[in-house]
Amino acid sequence: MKDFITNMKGALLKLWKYTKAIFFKYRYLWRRIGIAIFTLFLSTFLIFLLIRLVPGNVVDDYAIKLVEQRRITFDEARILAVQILGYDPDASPFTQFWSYLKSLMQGNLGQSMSNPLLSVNDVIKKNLPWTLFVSTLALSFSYLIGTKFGSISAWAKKGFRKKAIDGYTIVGSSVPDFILGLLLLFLLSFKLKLFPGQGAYDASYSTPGLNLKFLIDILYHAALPVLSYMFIQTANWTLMMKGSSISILGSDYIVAANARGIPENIILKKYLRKNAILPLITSLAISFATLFGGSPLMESVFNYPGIGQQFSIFIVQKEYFMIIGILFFTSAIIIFVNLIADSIYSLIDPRIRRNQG
Amino acid sequence: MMKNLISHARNVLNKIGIQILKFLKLMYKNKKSAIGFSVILFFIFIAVFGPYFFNYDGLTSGVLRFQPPSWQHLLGTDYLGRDVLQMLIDGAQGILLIAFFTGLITVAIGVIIGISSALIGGLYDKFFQMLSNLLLTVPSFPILMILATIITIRDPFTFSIVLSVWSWPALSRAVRAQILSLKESDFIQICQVMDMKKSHIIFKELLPNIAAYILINFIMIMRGAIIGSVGIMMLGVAALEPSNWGAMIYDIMNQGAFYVPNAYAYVLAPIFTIIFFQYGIIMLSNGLDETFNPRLQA
Amino acid sequence: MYKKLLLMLLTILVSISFVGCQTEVNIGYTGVYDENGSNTDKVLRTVGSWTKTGFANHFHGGGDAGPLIIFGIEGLVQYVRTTDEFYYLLAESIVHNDDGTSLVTIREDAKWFNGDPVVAIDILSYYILNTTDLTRYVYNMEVLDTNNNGVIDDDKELLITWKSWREPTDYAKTMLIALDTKNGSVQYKEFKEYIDYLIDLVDSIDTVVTEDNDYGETRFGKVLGDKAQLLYDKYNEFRAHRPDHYIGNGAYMLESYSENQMVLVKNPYYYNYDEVKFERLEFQQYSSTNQIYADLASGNLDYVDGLFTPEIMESLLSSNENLVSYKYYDQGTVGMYYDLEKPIWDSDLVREAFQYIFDRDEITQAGNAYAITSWKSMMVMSNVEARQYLSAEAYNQITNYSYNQEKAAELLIEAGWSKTDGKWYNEDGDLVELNIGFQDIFTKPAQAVQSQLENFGITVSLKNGGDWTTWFGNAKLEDSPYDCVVAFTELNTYGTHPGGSMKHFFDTLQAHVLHLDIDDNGTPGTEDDEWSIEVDLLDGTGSVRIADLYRNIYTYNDADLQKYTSAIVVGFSQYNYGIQFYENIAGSIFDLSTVGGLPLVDRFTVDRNITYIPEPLDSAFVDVAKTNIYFTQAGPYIRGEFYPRS
Repeated sequence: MKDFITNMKGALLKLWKYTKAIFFKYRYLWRRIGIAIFTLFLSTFLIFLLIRLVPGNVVDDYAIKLVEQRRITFDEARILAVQILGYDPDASPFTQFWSYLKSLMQGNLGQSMSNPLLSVNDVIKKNLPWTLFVSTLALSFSYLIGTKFGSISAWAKKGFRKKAIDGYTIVGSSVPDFILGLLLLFLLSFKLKLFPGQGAYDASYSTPGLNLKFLIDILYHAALPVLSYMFIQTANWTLMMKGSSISILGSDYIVAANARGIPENIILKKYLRKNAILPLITSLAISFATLFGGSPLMESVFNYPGIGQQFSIFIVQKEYFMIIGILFFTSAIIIFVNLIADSIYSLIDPRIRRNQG
Repeated sequence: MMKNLISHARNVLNKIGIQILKFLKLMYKNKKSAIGFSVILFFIFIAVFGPYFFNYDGLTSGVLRFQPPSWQHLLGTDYLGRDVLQMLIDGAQGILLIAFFTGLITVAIGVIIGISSALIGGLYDKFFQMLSNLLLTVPSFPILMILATIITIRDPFTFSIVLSVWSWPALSRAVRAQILSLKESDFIQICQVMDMKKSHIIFKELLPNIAAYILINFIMIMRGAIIGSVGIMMLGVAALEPSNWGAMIYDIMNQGAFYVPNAYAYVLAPIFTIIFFQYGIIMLSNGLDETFNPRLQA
Repeated sequence: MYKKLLLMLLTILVSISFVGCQTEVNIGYTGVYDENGSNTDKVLRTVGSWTKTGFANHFHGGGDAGPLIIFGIEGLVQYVRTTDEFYYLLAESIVHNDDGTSLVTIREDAKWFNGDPVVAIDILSYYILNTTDLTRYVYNMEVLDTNNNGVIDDDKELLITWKSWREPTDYAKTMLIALDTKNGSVQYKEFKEYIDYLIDLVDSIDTVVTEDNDYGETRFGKVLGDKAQLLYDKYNEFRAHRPDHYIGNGAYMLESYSENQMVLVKNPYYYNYDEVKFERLEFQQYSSTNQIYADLASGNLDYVDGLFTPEIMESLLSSNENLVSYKYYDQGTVGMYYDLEKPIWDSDLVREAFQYIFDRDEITQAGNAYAITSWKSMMVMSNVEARQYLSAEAYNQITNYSYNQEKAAELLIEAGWSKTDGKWYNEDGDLVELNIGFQDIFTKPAQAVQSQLENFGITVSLKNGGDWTTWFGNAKLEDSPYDCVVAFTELNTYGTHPGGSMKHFFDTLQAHVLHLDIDDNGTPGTEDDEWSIEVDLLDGTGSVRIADLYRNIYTYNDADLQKYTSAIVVGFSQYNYGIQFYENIAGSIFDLSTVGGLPLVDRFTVDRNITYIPEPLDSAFVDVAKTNIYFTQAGPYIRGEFYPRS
């Protein structure tokens, strides 16, 4: 019995220690999370105010339909429309925002006003995977290639490789990605007929699910958007990596390694790349946000069923809650990715933590 | 008296001439910025003098629909029989103005907020830090789309305001950081010790130190503005100005130009014009970067 | 150096792609056009549009199921507006009795997708949930217990009693029933709980509708009054109900769908199963017309509803030797009309002047090169219908304007406007600037309008209004962002009866955009808010309010109908509330190698770009118009007139 109590005590003490450690050692992290959540809600409210400025509203549109259907006056129809849609355009933005927050607490990111079947959760479930699929593919490839290119470009003094890479980065950073997408679509899909011109997969060829045929089909359909993103993103990563590498090149340990006669490609791989890549981790989040924000354009070029294309449709339809829901979710992802990137970075590099704690 | 005036005017002109020469020298110091600057000069030239060469009336013509390139129509005609080259030239002015105004407005906001929050600090600083944090967490293009449906975009200036609203935070943050580190540097400390005027410190000491940085940012913001405006036009959210490059692309996508055998020039012309212009901007900013920060030269 | 290399690479790519283009001359169809062909799978591949985010499993549940609604849900009787014929679908017969009642008998073998029979109470359920044009004329509706078993949920006979004071003609009665094309969309068995509640609710009400008191009526001769809220709540519950399969009864049922593709398969329970020849229908949703052209050219589409720019059409027909293009009147006219709330349109002179500004031939060329230019003003019904329903004398009375900018300038100056530095200023000396909102399908004519107005000296800002719901939503706003719109000035999507066009004009669309209710705050067309436009009767016997004529339009006999229609059309055109640009022509494109039974064989063997456009009274009109899937609501497919060439 006594043993048990001491054991318990020990266990509790340990638990307390860990909790304390989690709360205090990483308190900079908790503070950040707190700030992040606060920022998220504030930005949602900002968007909410913004959207209310869009002329016209769903309630009036719906009321017109009801007038037609039920032969009642517009005023009656409007009251009814408010009832059916559960949204009052005349209420104060704070009341509206509060009711939105309440539904948010129940896990509902937003409900379509004209279509009772549709919620932001559905759209995210259905369309987000496609956007994620394309942007993660593009991002990871361009990250891998770009960092390699960047370090080579910084390391090499002359030569074919450096010239080729430098020339490419200029072209790559001057073309907007969706314009390149359009060009590829025109040349490779319409003129040479090498790639499909629209959609995420061909339902008459493959059925969704875990099978090789479907996997090949979606990769085939995603090829052009991924290529267009990649071409531009790789150039960006090359530039960033080059900058980061140059700042490291002058440091003592590289000079020392050089002096010790360590082979060039080992210095390049083990010394330069490993250290220069660290600060780039935080940029991952920013790149992700850029791809995400630009997705309406790329997806409209390729008629790709991602969340960006759906977002443009909702803007035109004045689906307030859908717009807010999607933006809320996107911001949340961006903040989350940012947070993770920062934390990883600060865990790897304790100097950062000390500075910010 | 008269002589004085003349000599004074000559002096002023001389000074301006020297400044322009200085500027040109700066631009042509580096091969990259020389190329970039020439490209942009070329576009400015076209935007200013183009309309005098062609009398573009925008009238549609059924007879001239989808003409291949010829001597009358160097880049062919579009789906409504308008001359593609003339449209591109007519659209250049709008695009350049949008880019220029956006750069100007964004830099103004960004620099003012950046410097002031670095110098004033306290609650003021906290507020703007918070605000820019806020704006940075929401992707800007979707917001642009919403803004475009709210504000009637009719002229380049309104368009630039819309484009600037969400794009200043990154710059203001960077400026703030630079000013903060400058504040700690010796020569500013000395200035403060010497009890110099605040305005003197800001305009004579701080600004010149970040001027190069701001110039490069200005150019990059112009680049972003062009992408943004073309994108907005391409989605058809703003008021349609047929000769805007983005609107031309919108029409190419929606009126089946991809499919017409004769329409290669029509499809490719606006795409390559945009790419060429962007290329000029990137070259210019890269070149200036190399001029101002020679240590980046590996 | 290496960027040059890249540019060179691009140039090479471009030049490679030039090899692919050929400029052949389009000729006629060379193959033998009979039952045998390459379509062994018996599939029809075509274009469709539905809500990308998905739709509910029943017609009223939200989201638009697009093709599934056309091919999967039937009504009692189908009216084909182009042929002016009734086809009985779910109804076996409709008998109009002399005592002001009509007996609808439902087909013995009509079945829902799950095999349940379609019964009379299903139809009653539709009407207890929905208010339509028909319910305005109906006093009561009941299911007859024909088999005398005490319950009515297995009987096939529905008795409709018409209002004695507003009884339509026999033809109009069938027409009104047919106008509710989806009155077979509610299966009582599935939605029992809501419908039983509503039937009880209606039964519990004592207030009976009378001639003076039929406004605000809800269901079958009863005025709901303060119980209306209960009905609306129940209606919402009904909308939110989620059946486990799609509720329908048509020739095809849903196999699968995604954002961009939908597959329908033949319904094994369909009463006309043997007549339906296509086994599968595959629909593709496109966002870019470029892609439609590409798929047509490569033989991936069998039918497309559309008419393309002549250059694109020629290129298509020459790259795929099996394609044929049909063209026909659209029963719609494209033009420009005004938001009358904007002060600029107050002046009769300004409105008249605008009739003379435009070179309408050039706008036609821009908008639809195959269309026919019209020089008239807005007039409630499309020209092709006006030629049909008006006396020739009345039709000739409608003014034809001309392209005469001097005349326009004269009129504007008379109205107090002035022109300085090539720009027009209004009577108050303000620069004239117009916001033109156009529906996205009219991008082309809108741009022509813009360029002509700007050359005339009026600054224009063109706004893409998006698809029609969005555009309409903005256009009908009280403080609309548009001063005028480029859209259909007239359109009939309902039936070949003057009432169809008028319904579209006064109830559905144009009147809202015109803001005809300039004096009141309500919506035009509702009875408490009588819009007061008057027109003169052409025989000189005085003037009438359009609202009064329109309200009873289905009750007039032929002579009166022509008389009143003429008065409305001629009278309205004199107001110059809008400008017509062209009588729209629509088209269909088919792949001859896969689809059989298509009309005008002797023409497409000569030239596959058929430019012959029959007038509605020609016999060929019916044949050509039925190629449009929307005009006939799938008719030729469910009756086996079109079949796969296998």
